[in-house]
Amino acid sequence: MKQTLRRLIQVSLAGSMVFGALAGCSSGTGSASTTKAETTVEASNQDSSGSSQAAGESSSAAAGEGGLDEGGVTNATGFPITNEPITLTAAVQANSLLPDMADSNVWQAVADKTGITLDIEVLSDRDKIDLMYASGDFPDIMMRTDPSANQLTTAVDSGYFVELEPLLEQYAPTWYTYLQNNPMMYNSSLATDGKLYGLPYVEEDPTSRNLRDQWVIMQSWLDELNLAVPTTTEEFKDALVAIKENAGKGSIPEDVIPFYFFFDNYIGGQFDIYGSFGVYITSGDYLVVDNGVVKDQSTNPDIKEPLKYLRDLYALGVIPPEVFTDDWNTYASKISSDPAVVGSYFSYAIRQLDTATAMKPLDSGNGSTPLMRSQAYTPAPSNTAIITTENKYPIATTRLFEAIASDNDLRMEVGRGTKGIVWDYDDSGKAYLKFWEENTEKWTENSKELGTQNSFVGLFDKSFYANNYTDVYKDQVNSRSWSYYNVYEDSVMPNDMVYVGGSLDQDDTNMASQYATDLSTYRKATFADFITGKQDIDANWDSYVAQMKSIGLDDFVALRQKAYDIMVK
Amino acid sequence: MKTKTKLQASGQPLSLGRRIIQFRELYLFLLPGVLLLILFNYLPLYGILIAFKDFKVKLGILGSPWSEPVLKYFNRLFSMPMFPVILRNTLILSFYSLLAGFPLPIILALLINSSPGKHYKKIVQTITYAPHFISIVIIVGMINIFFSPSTGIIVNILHKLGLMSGNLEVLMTAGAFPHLYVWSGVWQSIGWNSIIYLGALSGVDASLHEAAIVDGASKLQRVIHIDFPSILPTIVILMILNSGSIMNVGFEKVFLMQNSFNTSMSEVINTYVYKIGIKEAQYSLSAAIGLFNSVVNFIMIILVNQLSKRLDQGSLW
Repeated sequence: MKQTLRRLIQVSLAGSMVFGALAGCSSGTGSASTTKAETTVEASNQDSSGSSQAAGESSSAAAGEGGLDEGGVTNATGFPITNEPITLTAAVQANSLLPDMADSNVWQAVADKTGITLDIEVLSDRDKIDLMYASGDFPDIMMRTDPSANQLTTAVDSGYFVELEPLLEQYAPTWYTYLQNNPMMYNSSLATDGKLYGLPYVEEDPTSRNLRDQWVIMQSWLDELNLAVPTTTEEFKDALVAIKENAGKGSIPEDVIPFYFFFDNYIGGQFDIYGSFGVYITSGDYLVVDNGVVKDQSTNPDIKEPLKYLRDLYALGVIPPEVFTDDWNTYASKISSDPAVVGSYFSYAIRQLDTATAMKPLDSGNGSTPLMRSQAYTPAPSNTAIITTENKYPIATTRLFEAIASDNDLRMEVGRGTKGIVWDYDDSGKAYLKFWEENTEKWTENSKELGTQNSFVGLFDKSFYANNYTDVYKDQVNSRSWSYYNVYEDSVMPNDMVYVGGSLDQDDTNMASQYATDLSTYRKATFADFITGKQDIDANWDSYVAQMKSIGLDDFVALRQKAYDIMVK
Repeated sequence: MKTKTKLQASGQPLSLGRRIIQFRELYLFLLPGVLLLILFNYLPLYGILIAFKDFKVKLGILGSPWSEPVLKYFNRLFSMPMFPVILRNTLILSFYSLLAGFPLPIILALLINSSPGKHYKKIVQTITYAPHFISIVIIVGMINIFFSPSTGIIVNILHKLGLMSGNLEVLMTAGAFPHLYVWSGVWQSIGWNSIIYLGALSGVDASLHEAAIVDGASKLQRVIHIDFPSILPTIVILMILNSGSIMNVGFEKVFLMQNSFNTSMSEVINTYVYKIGIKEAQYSLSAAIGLFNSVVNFIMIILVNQLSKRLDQGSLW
């Protein structure tokens, strides 16, 4: 009896261990049920997308009757878009400049006008976004998440996204016409299957697009040293040496960094030095477009001259070795320091508005025209508004995208922020900004009033800037607008030199990515050695070029040409 | 019960089935572990198929088409111009880490164990454990601040002492990367890794030491002839297990430590695959590379195990 009891206890103990051990799998059981639920949802979505397609087909008839669509909720024309409030879920990648994107007050204004409330999830890190694309667990709208070509292809192949073009044609004439008339914008928004699934954020402000980085120099230090803003490479060298020699005097700090850049990075990198010597580069991969032909500049012998100039600056101690070892955050904090610690740097905006100034590209004396880098009129970025098959109201959503592009109030509310606080209309009825990113204090203070900038769809095209907008910053010294019109307008690279690339197929994308990584790794290491004098530039040039070729430079340029042709066809 | 006695008495070996029936309660205790192993370690193995297929999420693992040729992704891996370099770098870092990082915790454990001062022991232990709790990002940040070429702490000290002028080239020299990587790793993990040996040492029979003292053995002789042999089985098992992760060089630390100068030594399989593959959602290529790493690890663990068996030093199986 005792033995039977003992056995019973043993068996129940073992049993409980089995169940205990499998407790971790309970989520597995749960997930089984979730899968089931998801399948149901998916099925219903297929139904809904099916019905929406059907609805799309019948919508003209419905609209013709002045009737309603999507379960009788969506109005065919006018505001509100839906005759009863609806809520759509959305996801967007976090933007450190816009900490309150999800609960910004602009969404209330959007809801009041359109009847559509957006319930936004801000995805704080890249892994979460990647996971969303890998699992297919999407909300109704994908705002800006910067999917890679492969991620987009996978999601499209899996039927997660709704093709937009038929919807645009019917419900978003502004977008449809714009994309028809701007092939570069259209081509760069297409997925690898040649169809359109996402709308871009269009930003065609000439002061933003026609210039990449400004070349900043500390005017106050030059004044203290009785020097003018340099116009030639030699003057620039002398100014940097003077700054270094006068460290600790006046407002020049003891630990001054005369010249600083983020080595070989397209943003903040040393590329405008190359441009000063007539070696024009318009992509981080050292490419430029010359009459429609994509060319590599990293093996152009002319680049030896600016490399030697940089080597001289390094040898004079005006470039610190940290330019090659610092990470982005360190770089950003050094150039942003106010009072300044850096004498000259490259940046989108001047970080010391009262003491620094914008400098033109420098004349090297070699007879070439010194030019600054510009940016192409391409999406900034693309795929900022994607309708997923989870979305039960694709037509209402398309109409929302249209409203954001065609209704000036909504365009400014969503793209910039709350009317009366962030922007307003002037006497001529044109919109103007009351403050902007460069005014960090107001920006932070009103963070809940800010729009999404380029984190969601927007249409700030050339006609908007020509007809609906007044640039009040044009006259504000050292703002980017001021710098563009007063310093750079005549010395930026023409737009057709800027490299742009469309979507290649999966195998080509993978190979291009591999080549780009290998080439940039080798080029960076070699150029770092050239500039620091570890390798002699002339003596090692041929072996460097040979190695670049053997890594696959020619194949890489051919792939980039292919991508360029897709884009500008 | 009677049967058992009879069979055992007759000396016949039991078949597995009969053994299971006979000792069912004991086998029942084994069941949870076996189930877990099957569920989480064996069933997911079929995912390896991805390495031989053009994986499409929509079609699933079994539904995706076989890649053409089947070894397409392996061919791509082996034909990459950088492959020999990244394989060499991976092996250099892992073998160097193993050679430098494996014996030192043992030596530290033996030293701590032989130290008579209790307080001193505790202090040393705490100080050596502490770095283990610092995150990799902070460690790399510290390395950069300490060794920064012109503004770092070390270069400033050397300048002040008049021992050096100019820049400290440690971060700017590719050849210095493995040393920096390995020794910062040793510093971070030496204390933590010594715990298991200290545990093993605490189990050494005190009477052995007493007898040795009576026989006039010195402290060093006792460490060599009593302590060391006592923890040798632990050392061997850990050695075999470590050799099974030889291809797994920590991704985060290498990636964070990379700069323009050192990529010729610091590009390892994991960082390279991250750059060209993972970010681009290339699941099949990633699976192929993962499988390649696992096969190398598997071969290593078998080799080291056999070697250890040959040398009569105990083995995993």
